[in-house]
Amino acid sequence: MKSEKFEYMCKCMIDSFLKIAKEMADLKFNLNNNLDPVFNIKKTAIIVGIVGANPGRIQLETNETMSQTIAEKMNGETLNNPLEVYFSLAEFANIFSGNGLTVINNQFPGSQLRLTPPSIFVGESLELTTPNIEHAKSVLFDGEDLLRIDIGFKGE
Amino acid sequence: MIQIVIIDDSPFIIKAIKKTLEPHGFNIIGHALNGKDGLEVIWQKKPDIVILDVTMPIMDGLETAKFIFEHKIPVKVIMLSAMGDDELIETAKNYGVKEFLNKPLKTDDLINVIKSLA
Repeated sequence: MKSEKFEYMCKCMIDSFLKIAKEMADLKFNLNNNLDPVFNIKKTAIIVGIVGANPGRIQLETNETMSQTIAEKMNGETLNNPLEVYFSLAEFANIFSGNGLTVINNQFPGSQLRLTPPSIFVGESLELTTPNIEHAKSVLFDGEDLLRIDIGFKGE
Repeated sequence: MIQIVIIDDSPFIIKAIKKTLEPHGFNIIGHALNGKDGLEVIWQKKPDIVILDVTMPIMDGLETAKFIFEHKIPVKVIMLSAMGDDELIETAKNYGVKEFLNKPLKTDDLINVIKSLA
C-alpha cells in the first residue's frame, strides 16, 4: 500500500474519532504526539478488526478515568457497573472506526473494508502487540485525560 | 402498537434504543446479540419491525437480512450500522432492507423511519 493511501486512511480515522467524541460524549481532544504515552495502572484497550482489501485493526487505549468519563457521557448517567463502561467504550470504538471506514470505502470503491466485533481488554500494565501489520501509526490525544489510538493496516 | 425486535451485539445500543423508543409508545418485545439468536426471537415473537446491526459475531446483519429476505419472513428490516458506504447500503437494499440508518443513533431519524414503515 502506498504511504499516501495509508496516511489518508489514518486521517479518516482520526477525523472520525474527533467527530464522534464530540457528538457522542461532548468531549474535545487535541492531537498531541509530544506527550509521554504513560497511562495509570489500570488500562482499557478496545481492538476493532478490519477485513477486506486492506485488513488491519484499530486499537483504542485509555485509562480507567477516561473510560468512565466517555461511557458516562455517552449514557447520560452515572455507571456503577464496569461492564457497562466497557460495553459503551467498545461501541464508541466501533462507531468511530465504522464512520472512518465509510469515508475510506467511498473513496476507494471495491475495498469493501468491514469491521469485526470489538474485543475488550482490561488489565494492569497491559501491553498489546499485533503481528503482520505493515503500516502502523500511533496517535495520542489529550483532553480531559489521555487516550491513544493505534491504527494498523496490511498492504494491498 | 408497533412491535419491535432489536438485534445488535452492543448492550449499549440495545439500552439506548429502548430508552429512545419506549417513551414514544413503541413496544420492544425482544432483543438478541447476534443474527442467529435474532432469527429465533423473530420466529417466536413475530415483530412488525426488526432493527438490525451489521457487524455481529456468529451471524452478521447482512446474512440475517438475506435469510429474512430469502425465506420471505414478514418483518420490515431497518439496518443500523456504524458503517454506511455506498456498496454496503446497496447490498443491504438488495436483501430487502427497507431503511439504512447510521450510528451514532439519531433519535428523530429512527422514530420517523419507524413511523413511515408502520
